[in-house]
Amino acid sequence: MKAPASSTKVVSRRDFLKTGAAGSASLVIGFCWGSRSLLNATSDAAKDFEPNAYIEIHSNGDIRLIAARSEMGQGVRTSMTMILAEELDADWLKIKVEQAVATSELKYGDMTTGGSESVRSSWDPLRKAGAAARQMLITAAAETWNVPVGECTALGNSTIRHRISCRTLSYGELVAKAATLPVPKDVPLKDAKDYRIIGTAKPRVDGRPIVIGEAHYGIDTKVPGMLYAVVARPPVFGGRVKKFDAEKAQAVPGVKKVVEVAAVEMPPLFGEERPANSGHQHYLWGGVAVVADSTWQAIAGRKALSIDWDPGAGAEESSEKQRAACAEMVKGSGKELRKIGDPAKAFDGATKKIEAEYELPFVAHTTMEPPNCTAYVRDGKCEVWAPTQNSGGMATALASALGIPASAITIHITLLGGGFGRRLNIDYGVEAALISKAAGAPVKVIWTREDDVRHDFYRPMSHHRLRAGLDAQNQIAAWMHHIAAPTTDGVYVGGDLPDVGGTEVAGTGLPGGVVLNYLLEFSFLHTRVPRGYWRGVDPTWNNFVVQSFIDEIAAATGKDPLELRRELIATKAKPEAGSGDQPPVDVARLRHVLDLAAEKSSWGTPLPKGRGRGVAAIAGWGTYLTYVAEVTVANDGGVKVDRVVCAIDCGQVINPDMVKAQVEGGLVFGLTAALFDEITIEGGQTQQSNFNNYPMMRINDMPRVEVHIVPSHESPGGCGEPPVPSIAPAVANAIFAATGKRLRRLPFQTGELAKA
Amino acid sequence: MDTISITVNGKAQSVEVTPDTPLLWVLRDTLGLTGTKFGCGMALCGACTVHVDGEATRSCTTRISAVAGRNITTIEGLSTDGHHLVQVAWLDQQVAQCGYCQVGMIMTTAALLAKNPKPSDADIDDALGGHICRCGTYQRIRAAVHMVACNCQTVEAGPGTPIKINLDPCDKPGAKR
Repeated sequence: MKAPASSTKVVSRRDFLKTGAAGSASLVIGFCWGSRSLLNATSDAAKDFEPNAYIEIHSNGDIRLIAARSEMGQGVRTSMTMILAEELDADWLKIKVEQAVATSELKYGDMTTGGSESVRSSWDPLRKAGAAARQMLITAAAETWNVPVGECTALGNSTIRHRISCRTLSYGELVAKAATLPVPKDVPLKDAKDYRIIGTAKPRVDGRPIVIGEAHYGIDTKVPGMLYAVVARPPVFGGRVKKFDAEKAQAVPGVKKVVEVAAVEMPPLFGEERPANSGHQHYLWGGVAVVADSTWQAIAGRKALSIDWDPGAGAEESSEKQRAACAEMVKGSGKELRKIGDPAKAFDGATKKIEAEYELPFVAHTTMEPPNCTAYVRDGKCEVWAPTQNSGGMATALASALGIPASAITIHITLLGGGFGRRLNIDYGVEAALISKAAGAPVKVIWTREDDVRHDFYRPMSHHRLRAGLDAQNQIAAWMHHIAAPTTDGVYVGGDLPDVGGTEVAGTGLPGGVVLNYLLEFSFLHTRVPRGYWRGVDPTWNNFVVQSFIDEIAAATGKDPLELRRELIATKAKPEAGSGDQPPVDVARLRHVLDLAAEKSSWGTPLPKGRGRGVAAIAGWGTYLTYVAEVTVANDGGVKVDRVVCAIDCGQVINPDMVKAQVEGGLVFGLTAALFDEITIEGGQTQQSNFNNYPMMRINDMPRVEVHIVPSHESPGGCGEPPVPSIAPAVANAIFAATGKRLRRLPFQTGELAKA
Repeated sequence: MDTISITVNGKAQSVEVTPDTPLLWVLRDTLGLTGTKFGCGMALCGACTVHVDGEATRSCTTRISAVAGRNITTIEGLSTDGHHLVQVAWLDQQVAQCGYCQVGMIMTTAALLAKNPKPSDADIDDALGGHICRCGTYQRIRAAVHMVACNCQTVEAGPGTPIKINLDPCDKPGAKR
């Protein structure tokens, strides 16, 4: 996912921490994390220290961590608890993580949850804050006992002990005194070998409410006087309401009001980083909302609406036209994004030439909790309850759409029933606020699944032309990759060619820096179909293509696919991650996960007829991952993924069980798209609507997944996205191994595999 | 609007809604029982599963008029203390990620195990194949179902591992307190 905030920024300001008193007898430590502030205000170093996260230790021993990262299943509340408990030497069961409320006061800094960076960006500040608090509690104990600080030890259970007299005091007993002490600077952090919580499998701190039905998602919001709404949105992207007749809808029992939702041009999602002329726009395309006493009445009211739409020029669009346009574009040359050596000359002079084209469709997020938002706009203020990954962006957009100052906006971030990047978009929040304002009441806007599938911000479709030239020794002398695609962020209404690169070309990286002559080109597809960040983002296209094409070269040269990968990164290799957001690639770590996956999967041992094994690897988000997939291909072409072995090096692991869960889940996300998912456009409209025509992987499709984690004390890497991209190429390569047939289009057109 | 009587989690309820209202929205909007989730509205994903007279039923496509007088159990009434064996197994196996679909999974599993205490993998596929988990927790779901069926203990990733404390003189036997 686009990393909207710098992921490794270490807070270095002199007054990094400060204490405060929260009522009586509590130790409160404010600290800073994240980078960009909410609502685009800069955190001016000259200003007073403004903490954006807090630890509170109370006299009864309870510890609260108030922080800003949305929980969407990735277990971030548990990870943050573990990191804090480690350095604070606290009883980790006494720590409660509370979701910060997004307000304009910049209290919680950048609250964006995406880019696989919640742990990455919390890691340093949280440890430092915990260590400082522990040191203050130790000092408080030493002063109480009138003994040297060096004789006092934190036991790891929220207790300090004097090692000479064996007296103990609990954190709760010490907070009043500790709160009067200055915050120490540069307290040394623990050595990794001394970790007792970090690196162990801990259960989720928030697991129980889920299994008893008390977990509170956005869709479960209820506020006094709340009404329910659904919205009829323009079926054609870019369309508008021409006129509508609400008479029949008004007559439906329970329907209170029918209101038109204005079309709104929204600000960029993550503040103002893109140049103003970049041409990327986010629109709320408006519609007609039916507001009622219950969800069902609103749905019934919407069915009774009669709306005359102006489809606009978008009605001309179709997937077939888009595919044909992309196929045509890659025949020529595109905008040169990266060039090493003289690829054209090296290709022309090659002994052997290999060419292939690959295609991927638009895909939707389909979070299990559909988009929804509850809003209450009154007296020039706006209060919102939203399952969002991007409260900062939503606040900015709300202020702009409602014409009120940001200081009048409060966003309560609920639990998220899945995020996957969909909830980085803020359309559903702005829409709910506009409806609440028009209805003069708090309104919960619920999207049906059909609304969700047809009005998503899709992962872009793409078409790729790959060309490799091999020399007489079968070494890759030239590698050329031409991508034709729309860009990722919203829609593009600018000049001929947008500013490409941030979230379109990551994952192309492996050959760049490995191959002596390299070319990456991009051709832009104009479309009104909205695009967004989909778990794994651009590597989900590019890794499929690059890791498949490496296999094609292996097949053409008679090399073992895994061996060829080892060769490619063995010598002189300086692979590029492919985008500025991605950290540089450490070849040794990539090599290690290849070797580990090979070993654990018994790579190279024979499989029965009809079965095959395929490998694919990725380096991204500070993490290294290799999959080996085993598939069975039936005579009718049906593909069953039987087993997947994963080797992952994500640096220092906080909770190995959650790493495994993220791999299992990320793999399902990627495999679902590889096997089933395709959003197609006809007449400018999305043709799919629900899980009957946009199917998902189910339990009977689930392969046996084995996850092997490389022990490491490197900085933590991301875990949400790295498991997504490489499963499609691993399976494509396994299908080739099983059948000799190369599938170059997602979702897999398995009909091509059927035996006559 | 009709007045319809149903029994929800053992409690007789009378609701005033149009008879075509799906049970799901009566539970959520009228009775405030939001543990039952909306996922698709077409009985395609299983998030809305409740028990009607003990049968796992998709509440999003079940009209309220069709369940008048029937006994409905939701996640809120599955157990009195939240310790139904299926709920315990779900926690033990750390199944949930976002958790949104899990209530439906748990309700279907409870109904399955009530009839078939030792389901095979194929039985599990049959019963839970109608459900969707977008976080991809299927491997753990299967493990949790088997765990209840065989009454096994934790395989891995169970509740917190014991905390090791460096032994200092105070921890040694006979140290003064």
